[in-house]
Amino acid sequence: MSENDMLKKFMKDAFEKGLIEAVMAPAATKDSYTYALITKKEDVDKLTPIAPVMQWNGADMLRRITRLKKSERKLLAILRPCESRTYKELVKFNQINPENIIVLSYDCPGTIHARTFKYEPTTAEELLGEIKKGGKSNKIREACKVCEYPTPIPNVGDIGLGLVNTDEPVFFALSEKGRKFLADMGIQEGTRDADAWVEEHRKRREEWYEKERIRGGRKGLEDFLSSCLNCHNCKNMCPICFCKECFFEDRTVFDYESSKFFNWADDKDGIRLPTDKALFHIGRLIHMGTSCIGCGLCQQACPMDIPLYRLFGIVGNELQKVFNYKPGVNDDIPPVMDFREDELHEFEGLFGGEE
Amino acid sequence: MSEKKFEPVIVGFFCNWCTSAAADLAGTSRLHYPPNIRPIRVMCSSTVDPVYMIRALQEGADATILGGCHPGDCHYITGNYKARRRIAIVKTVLRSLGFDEDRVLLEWISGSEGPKFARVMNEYTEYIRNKGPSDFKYLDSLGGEEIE
Amino acid sequence: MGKVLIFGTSLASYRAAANFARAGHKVILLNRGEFLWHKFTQMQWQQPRDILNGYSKGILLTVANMTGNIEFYHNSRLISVEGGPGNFKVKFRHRPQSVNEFKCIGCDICHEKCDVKFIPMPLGPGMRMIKNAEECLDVCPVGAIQVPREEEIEVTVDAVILSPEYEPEEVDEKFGGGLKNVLSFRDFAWMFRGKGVDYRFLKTADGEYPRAIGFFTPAGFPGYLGSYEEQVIIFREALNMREIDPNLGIHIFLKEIRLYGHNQMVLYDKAIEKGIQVHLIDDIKVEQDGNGVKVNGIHLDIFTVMPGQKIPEDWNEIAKAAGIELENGFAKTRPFSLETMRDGVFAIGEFVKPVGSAQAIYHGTAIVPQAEKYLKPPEMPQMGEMNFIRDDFNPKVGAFICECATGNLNIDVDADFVIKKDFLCLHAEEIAREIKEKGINRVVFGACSPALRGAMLEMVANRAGIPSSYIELVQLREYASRVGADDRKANAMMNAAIAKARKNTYVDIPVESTKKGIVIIGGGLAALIAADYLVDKIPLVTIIAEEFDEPSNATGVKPNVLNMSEEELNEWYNSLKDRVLKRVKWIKASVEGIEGYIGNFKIKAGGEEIEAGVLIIATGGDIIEEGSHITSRLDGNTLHASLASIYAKRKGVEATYDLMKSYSLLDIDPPNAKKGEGKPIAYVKPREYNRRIAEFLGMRLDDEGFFFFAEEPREWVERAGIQFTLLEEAFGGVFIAGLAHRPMSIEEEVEEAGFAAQSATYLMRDIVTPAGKFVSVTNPRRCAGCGICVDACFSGARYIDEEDKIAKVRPALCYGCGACANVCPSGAAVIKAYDANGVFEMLKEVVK
Repeated sequence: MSENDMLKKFMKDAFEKGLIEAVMAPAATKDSYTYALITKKEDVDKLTPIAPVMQWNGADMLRRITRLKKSERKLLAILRPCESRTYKELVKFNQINPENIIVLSYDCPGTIHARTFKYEPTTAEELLGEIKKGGKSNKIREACKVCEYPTPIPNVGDIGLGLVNTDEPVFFALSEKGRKFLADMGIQEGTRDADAWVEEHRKRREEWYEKERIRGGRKGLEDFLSSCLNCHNCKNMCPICFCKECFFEDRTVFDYESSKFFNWADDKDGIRLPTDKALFHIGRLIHMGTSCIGCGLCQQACPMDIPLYRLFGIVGNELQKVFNYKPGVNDDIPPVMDFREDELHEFEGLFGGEE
Repeated sequence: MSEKKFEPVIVGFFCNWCTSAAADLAGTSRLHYPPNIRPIRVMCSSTVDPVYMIRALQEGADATILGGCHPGDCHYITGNYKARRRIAIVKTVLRSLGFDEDRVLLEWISGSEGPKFARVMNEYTEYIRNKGPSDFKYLDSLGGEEIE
Repeated sequence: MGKVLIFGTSLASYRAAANFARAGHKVILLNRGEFLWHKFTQMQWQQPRDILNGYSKGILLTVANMTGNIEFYHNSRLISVEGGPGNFKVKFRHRPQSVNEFKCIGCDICHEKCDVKFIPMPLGPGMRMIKNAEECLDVCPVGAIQVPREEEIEVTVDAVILSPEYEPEEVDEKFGGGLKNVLSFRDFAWMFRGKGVDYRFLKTADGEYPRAIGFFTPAGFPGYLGSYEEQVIIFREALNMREIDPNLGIHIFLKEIRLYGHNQMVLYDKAIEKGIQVHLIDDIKVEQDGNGVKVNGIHLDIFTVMPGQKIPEDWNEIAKAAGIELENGFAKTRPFSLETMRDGVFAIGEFVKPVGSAQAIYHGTAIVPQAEKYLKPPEMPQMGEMNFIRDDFNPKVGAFICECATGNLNIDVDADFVIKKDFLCLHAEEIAREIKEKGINRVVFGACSPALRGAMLEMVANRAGIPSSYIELVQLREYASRVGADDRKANAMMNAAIAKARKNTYVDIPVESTKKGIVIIGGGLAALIAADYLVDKIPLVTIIAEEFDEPSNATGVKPNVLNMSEEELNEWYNSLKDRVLKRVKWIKASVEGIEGYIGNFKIKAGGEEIEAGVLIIATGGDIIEEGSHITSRLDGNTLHASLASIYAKRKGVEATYDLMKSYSLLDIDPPNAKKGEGKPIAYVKPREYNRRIAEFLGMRLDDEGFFFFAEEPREWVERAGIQFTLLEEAFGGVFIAGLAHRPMSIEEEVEEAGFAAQSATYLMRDIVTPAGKFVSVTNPRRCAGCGICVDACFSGARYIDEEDKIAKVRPALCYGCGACANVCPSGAAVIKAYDANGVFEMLKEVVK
């Protein structure tokens, strides 16, 4: 039985036992996969719980469902590890009400770039085949290759599904709620050894930090963003950018009188239009960089194939190091919501950090 | 351009309760400091959105200073701690992208420290003068030295 | 409207003058010095670096300007006080300043033409003394120069309040005075003045960097008194020194530890932890040792002596002139009162007993209800209705440039109207006329600091119908012409303000209505005292308490109460209780829940729900008497010696002590105790009830269960500085008094309850947001309800509305710091005066 079939059986059992009343999981479309919400046992077969493509971040879907009011029904959500970390992070920002939600997460084989998938379809089973052997497919996205947390982690979500280095998938609890759920399902918790597999990801990540870092200040950043359309799609797809309306789309601030354009052109020996392109990306880093989860959807969303995750992932990582904060991994308060009286002295005073 | 010596423009965001008062005192005491400093009075160091500092650099400032109250002395109890976090974010972003983070400065100057205010302004202006112009202001433009 | 005369300018009298004026009474303030600040309380002498002194002055000046109720006389000497309450004839001599500091605009014209001595000071024009004032009268454009001719004046007042300052001394010879590298603390602190506390500025007389330094205060040595304040300052400075140099040898010499209230003991613990050596000594021997000194055998490169308090000789003359008695050198007062033995003559501050700054502020506030029984009813100034222009879309900017501020700078700016005047502050009517005639709706002043005439100019524009949110002030003088700016900088600053003014939008300054009632929670002694002050002034005063505490034996340090018999004490207590319970509403129950915030609390108790604008928490405490040891503290950092030392004194036992024995007793008469250990003679056990109330209100308790409230005097005045005048608002409408706060004597309870009561009366009015035009608002369309702003707000003004799931603002609690707008990623939280729109315009111009 494939992993997907097994998960579907799991859902049906849960429906039958009355443990859940709804499921949110991916479902196939003609060229891709969407998220789907079902409320009936019969509809389970329409789902593909482990999809080879992540078109949206599942936590973003949960945000839509529970932002105004807690989930009315007992909802099982199937989320990738990055999505469940997003879920945890968004709970901290009051965007998701975790009540009545059970999150199941699994050892993630990675996903394929949505556009690549459209033209060269593949199956989840192919990707899963690699990780069962402790490997990784070459087709997956850059962000997936350098994923820091490719496995479910305790207290992030409720139920984990181990797939690495094992032919028989194993369930394990991530939270008390999950433990009870598995017990009610009559499922024995199991183990699998994924440490080496995770370590490889992290090693790749370290190398990636060094190799792909944007260097050279203005020139580096301009070259990196040279093909940017200023479409703000990276922001639209970013699950952490939960604002209703982005500050950088405020026309009252970013529309200017003509004199201003000409003055700029005078002062700066010519300007590029539209303006404020780099400011948008820097501003987004400042606003949400400390909470960048690393799902890489910004990069997938870019119509010009700018490897944006190199910008957000690498700078975000530096920011998170400053505050010793790992978004969505534990219950620490996000840096933007907190402060300490005795910290960050290297940023004070003349010529900070150099002394 | 044939300027003999580079004269930077430095935008200062100064807390109403301390650094602005120190600037007042420097003025009352006639302590001269370079005219390169452009002071802006804000209510608290935590009023200053990091985007404002970035914007100042982009609009043509060669550096920015944020002046707040000494830790523990904030008039809004904890504003300066929050400001320090914001500065840490701005500086880290700049550094990570290969910009010069020293062009953003956070200083604690209390209301009675008029001479300290003048000293910091002098030292920082000299420091930036020696560094030369910031290329951040040419971001998204055709100007600057490196672009042909 | 009553009229009081306040003699002396101590911290207590600064507060008292401001408080009487705000309560609607006239104040005549006799300053003994050449200018305000000249002779000032211990803070000024002991820690000259501390900006708090400036704030105290700022508060006073703001109130003086706001109410017009304060008259100042400098260089005054009290001659006689005749008559009685309601009709005192007070004679005094005074010599005006050569420069009237209220009129002085700091234009510095006199510097060129007269013989001027100038002392720069923060938050004002600085001090000027002119030797040849007679020849200079015409030089001053505002007529601030006056002939300093002494004259005698007689005034009629309802009550007289005495608060002379003590004067600092030179370092006594027996403490090393006169030796090289022995400094008074003031001189030591001065080394860093204005330059920042930095190791570069720490130097011996030879300009060497010291390896070991020492601090000493003689409090407790024969003839030297002392409150806790000196020790707090010493410990803080020692910790400062440790911060700048971890390898410096730092020693503190003290007779005994004298700290105060909550959490000051933390300073001692921290000092020990940081390797600062604290020597508790009985004798001190200071001798020359090479370039430094040897203190009790320890070599020091710099030895710093904090003078401590010594009763000035002139207090005798003052007492004679005022017709009052002294006792141990201090004013003799009535039991539990600041009134001297002469009706209608009061004493506050260090004239009563050695006090620290917190107590001085308590005195300066509690004096108002005590003196008011002799005063005619207060009169509150009526504010006229203001009609403001409101037009966000058609800005017409008028730039008013003051030539006094521009000096030699050539101002050429891009405003709709540019109006230049020699002195803007002298042409208020013309400014108003120009605004009206030209149809100006945005005003940019290129003038001086708001601490000088900037704030006044804003009011001029206000009166001409321009709301504050349409006004910008550019300090061309202090930020440009005085500091060597060029035209480019000055014009960039002006153009930036003009660009911002064009984008400014109207800010509706919110006013929240207040419930005109006060609830006192608990039956501590302070509850009765506070109620006694309030019951005739406030429509509804409610006490919620199961029962009332009996008075403790910790009566106070003044001889009249220290030696009071139990019968006298009970008689005083019973009459107080009768008087109060006859007139207040008493709910015999415990509080079951509290909701709301300043101005609008809802309290559930005994099946009722009571609304109140202010809460006073006086839950009292249980006093446990056991052994004969003056325990400085139990498990936490709360000091119990304050109470224990009085017990030891009243019981007359052979006591032992550990770190402190004579805390808050007049040192003339310390208790009989030697070092040792033992069971505490008396300590306060805070009530469990405190925890529940703290939970309802989200307040903090210390380790033992006492409420934190204005823990340290410094923090205290600091909070006052937040809004200059609004000391009482700094506490969010919740005041803690008496044993709920810390162990204290009844004498101190009276002071604290008086502070709470008087502060509460100020809050019985509708609250205009303390933020003014900087009030925070939420754009509901944008707010995603993430709650970052809620965490950023220090005062609890922001909350997430459960219905709409967006952040909302309680204007009464918003102080306008802008931390919310800063952290909000979507720009939904906004301080309109600093919104991105205006600031971006400004930044474009300012970098030119």
